[in-house]
Amino acid sequence: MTTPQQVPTSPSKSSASTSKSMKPITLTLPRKSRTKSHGIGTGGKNSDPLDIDNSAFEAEHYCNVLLTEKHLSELIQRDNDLSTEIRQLDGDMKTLVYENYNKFISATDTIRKMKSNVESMESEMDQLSKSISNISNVTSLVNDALGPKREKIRQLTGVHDLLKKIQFIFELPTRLKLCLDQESYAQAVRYYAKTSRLLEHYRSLSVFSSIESECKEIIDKVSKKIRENMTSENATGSEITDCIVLLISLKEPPQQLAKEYLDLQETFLSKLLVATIDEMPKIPADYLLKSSEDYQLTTSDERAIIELTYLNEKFLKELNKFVESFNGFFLQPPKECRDTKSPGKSPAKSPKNNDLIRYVSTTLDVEVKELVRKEFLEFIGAITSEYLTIVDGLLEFPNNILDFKPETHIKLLNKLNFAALSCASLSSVIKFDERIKEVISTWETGIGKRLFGNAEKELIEKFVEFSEKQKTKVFSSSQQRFKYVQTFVLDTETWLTTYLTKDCLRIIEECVKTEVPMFENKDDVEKFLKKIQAEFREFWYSIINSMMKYVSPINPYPINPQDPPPPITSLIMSRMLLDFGEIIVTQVYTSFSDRLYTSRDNRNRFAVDVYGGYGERHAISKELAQDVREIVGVCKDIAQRILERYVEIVGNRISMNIRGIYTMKSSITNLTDVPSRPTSVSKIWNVIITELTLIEKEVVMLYGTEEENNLDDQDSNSLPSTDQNSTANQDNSNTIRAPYAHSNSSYSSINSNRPKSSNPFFASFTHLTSHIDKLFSDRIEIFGIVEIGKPGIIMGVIKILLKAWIETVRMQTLTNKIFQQIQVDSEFVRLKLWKYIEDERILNTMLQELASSAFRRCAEDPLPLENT
Amino acid sequence: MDNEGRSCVYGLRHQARCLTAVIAETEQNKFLVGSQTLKRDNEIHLINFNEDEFEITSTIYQHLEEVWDIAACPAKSDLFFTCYKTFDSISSRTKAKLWRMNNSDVISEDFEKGSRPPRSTSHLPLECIFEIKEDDTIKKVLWDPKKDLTKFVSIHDSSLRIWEFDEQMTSAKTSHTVDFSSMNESLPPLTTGVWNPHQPEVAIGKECYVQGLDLRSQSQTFNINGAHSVLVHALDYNPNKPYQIASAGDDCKIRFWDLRNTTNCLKQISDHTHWVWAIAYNRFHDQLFLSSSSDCQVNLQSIVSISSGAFQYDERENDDGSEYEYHDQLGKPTDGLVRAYDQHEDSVYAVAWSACDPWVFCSLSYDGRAVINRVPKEEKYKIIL
Repeated sequence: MTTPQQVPTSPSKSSASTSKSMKPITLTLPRKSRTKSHGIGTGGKNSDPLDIDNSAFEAEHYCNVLLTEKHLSELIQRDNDLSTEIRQLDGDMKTLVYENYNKFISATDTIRKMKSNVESMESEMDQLSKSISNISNVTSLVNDALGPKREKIRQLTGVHDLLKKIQFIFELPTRLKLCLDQESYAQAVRYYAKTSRLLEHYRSLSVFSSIESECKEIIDKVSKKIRENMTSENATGSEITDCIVLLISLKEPPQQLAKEYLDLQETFLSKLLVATIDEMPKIPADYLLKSSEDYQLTTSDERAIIELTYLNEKFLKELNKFVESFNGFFLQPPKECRDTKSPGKSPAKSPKNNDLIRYVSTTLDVEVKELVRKEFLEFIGAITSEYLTIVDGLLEFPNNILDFKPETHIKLLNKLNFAALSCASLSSVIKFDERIKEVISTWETGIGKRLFGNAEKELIEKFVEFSEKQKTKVFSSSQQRFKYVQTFVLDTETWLTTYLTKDCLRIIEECVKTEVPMFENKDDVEKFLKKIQAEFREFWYSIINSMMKYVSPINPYPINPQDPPPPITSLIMSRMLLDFGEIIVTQVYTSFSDRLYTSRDNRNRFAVDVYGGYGERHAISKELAQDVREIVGVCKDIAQRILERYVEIVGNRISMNIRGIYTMKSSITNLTDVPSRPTSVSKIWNVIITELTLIEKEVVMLYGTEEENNLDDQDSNSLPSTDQNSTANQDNSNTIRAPYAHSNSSYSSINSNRPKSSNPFFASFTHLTSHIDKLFSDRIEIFGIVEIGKPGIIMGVIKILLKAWIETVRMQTLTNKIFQQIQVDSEFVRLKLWKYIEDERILNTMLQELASSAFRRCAEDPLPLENT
Repeated sequence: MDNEGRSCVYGLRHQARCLTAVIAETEQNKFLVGSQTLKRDNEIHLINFNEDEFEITSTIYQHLEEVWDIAACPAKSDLFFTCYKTFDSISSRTKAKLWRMNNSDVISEDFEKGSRPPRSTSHLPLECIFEIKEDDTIKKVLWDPKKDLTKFVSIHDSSLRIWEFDEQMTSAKTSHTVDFSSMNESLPPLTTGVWNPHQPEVAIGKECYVQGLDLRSQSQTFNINGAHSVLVHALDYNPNKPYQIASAGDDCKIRFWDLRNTTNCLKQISDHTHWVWAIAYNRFHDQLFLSSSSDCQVNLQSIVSISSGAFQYDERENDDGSEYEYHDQLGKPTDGLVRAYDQHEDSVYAVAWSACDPWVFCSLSYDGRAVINRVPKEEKYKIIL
């Protein structure tokens, strides 16, 4: 038992010594068997001193327990068990020792080897460090040795570069020559521009100076060539510009260049303009389709648009380019500011020259600059005006304004607007955009003028034509004439209303409603409408004025006065103006307001109620209401004045008849065949009354009476039944003499009907009574305000007639016979006139005045006729 | 005494058409009026308006025939022409006579004594110097406004005669006759005439036109065709501004013409409502203009814009001091009707400015009422200040 117990001690010693440096050797234990054998006591882990496998096992206590508790047989059994277990454990231990022994052996071997190796390592390390220091020494040595050589190499490289440049310079003449031969002048100029400063700097060296002179020679040639190119007939604008750029780079004197450039472009652009104008009518209709513009042409006849596009593309672009380059080259302060400005603004330039152009500029003296600027502006101004003239030509309105399609023009204007926007340089130099705006605004005014002017012209033409017809046309009956006049009035009024509300309005509406960018802006539309409104207002005034002028021309009359228009024209005009004032103006404005104003946006428009002549209400937008009121007022006013003019003309014409009828001479010739007492009315009075009847008819025709319905019937119906000769007089004045008997009888009957006036003025009166009468009678305005309406008009004429009669009588010296004649005439007139007169007092007063005047002017003792 | 706004009325008791200022009389406001009645003897009234007393005295002379026109001699206050009408049963004749009022001094003496009433009741005789009978249609006699008493002009129905006085002015003979008669006899006669104060030229009105006639050559100097749409009734030359003439007629208008360019009238006034019978420029301030019409009105117009005073008022702008302020208060004279006088109840056929006081004028209506008025103070101050 002692040996096996000893054996494991030795390996355990060795393992302890080697375990530090060697890998750990795990000791394997035969766990299985042991747990099996002591399986009894596995259950109790607590410190049970009776469990044999437990660490707290007390052998003595255990033996005592066994001895006390167990039977002998059990003890024997227990003893046997224990001895077998011991044997088994012993065997296990032996195996274990054996198994782990090898591991101990190898561990000790390893430890032994390690001990021997570590001894040589230290010396080797020393050697290594020694080698490394050696190496670094050598390297620094080599570096020091190579230093100076490297410096040399660097110098040599610099020299090489310089030599290369010099070679370029030396080769320059040849290169330039080559360029010259190849006509790539731009390249040549670029080469030269690069080197010229250098050459100038080293001019003192003979080598360089010779090269320089050689180069100069070639460059001179080049510049000459460039000039040649530039001045050649076929040079285009951009070519000229390119050439000028090159010349500027060659440092030619700028002032001269500016002049040359200006001259050349002037000829070029002028030629271009002429050519373009020539070509314009020949442009194929599909020109636009090729161009980038994306307008849709609805009709093929919109040539104007095509032409304008063509013009803009061909000419305006060139012009703008020129202006931009010229401005850049000569006028603007160089570089910085232009650098910020020009990028992107010259898309048309060839990229090759772009860099050059952008940086090329010149410096001119202030004075010279101003001079150049002045010339430049002059030319630009002139050529722009020419351009605008063409544009104006395109914008001409057609002869017949009704054929006018505003769409085309608006498109044109839009294009112009667009062109103005794209020509920034042109705009900045000569305010091109403003001029275009001016063109547009002129157009806007023009359209109104044309539309309305046309109406006015036609209206006046209608009147003239009517007047002519009145003079020449013979009407078979008064009824026919009556119809004719009425139709004329109605037709004309309808025509005017239709023209204004249909045609004019349509065109204006089209203008406003087109969806073209120009009119997108609301302010623009408003401006346009304002212009139209102003024109419209102007139109009414102008109509009124020309009517006024037509009937009463500003004096004096032409030296050989043409026949003045017949008085009925004035009557018609006055009637029409009245209608204008009462209805038409309001109507037309209402439709304008409806179509042009309210439709745009309802909320902001306050409609103003305007009351028409007949009390009807019209809602008219605020902007127009003022105009409407004003024009209505003026219309009525002028209607009144024209009416007064009519009364004056007619009154004077009718009064002319009276002149000279009562002179002694005429009385002798006219009245010799009459018996001593006049029994009949002077012929002339029949004529006058006939005329008056005609005038009444005219007036009734246009101004109507209360009994208008009866008009178509014979006039006689409305005359007093006692008055039988009147119809005869009117219808054929040849048989005037026949009804004289009637005349006297009716005269007396009337007198007896009216006892108030039955005391005839001729029979008994004195100065005194006449004066007293006069005191109480109102003063009569002869050419005063004429009341509108039939009675007023007729009254006006009658007043003029009677007053003229009085004045005529006063100028005469009368014989008794003439005095009596006047008496007869006076009664005749009273009889005839009373039906026209509303206020008999005036008639009475005037006839009385006539009587008293005649009485005084009678040289013999006046012998009034008896009434019977 | 402030008689501002008042007017002085004198009744003739006869109808009357013609009136003239006694042009040669520059001490007193004197006017001559001729009456026109058929049934009684006619009278010539010499009206004397005394401004201080504000009353009218008159002297009446006998004149048998009715007076159609009267023309006072510009140089001698006692001489005047009348045109008058005589008639018999078949025809009437118009003739003219040169008269002398040879006893005017007697009257004034009497008046000074105060023994007579201001209005003479007895009819003094006139001394007839000579008579013009030619033609029997004489309408109007014109004196030379330059006060040259060698010539005068008579206007007839269809002709114009230039006469020369003999040395003692006791007779005259025709030196030239200008005939206006045309083939058509029914054409109206000449209506009026006026002698240009600036040059030997007479303007006549006939029908609708006004014509100028050079007295030396008897040739036409101007012709305003259609000056008025009916008859031309009255003419007057601007006394201070050559080449300006005013015309008026039956179309109730007054028009002013520049004779160098007659295609358009300078100005037109249409304030009357019936025929305008007489017009008169103020001899001193030609911006004041009178017109009378058969609408019984006399209108005093201011026509400063076309008068010789037009410049004066522009220049005044540059003046300094108190005058300017004064002027500001009153305002400048402006064109337009200054006042319409409606004291007449019948047609006013004649109007005349006084030869003495530039602010006094007289108008005469058919009923024989002569009214003397003065320019309103306001207007007067506007002009003279």
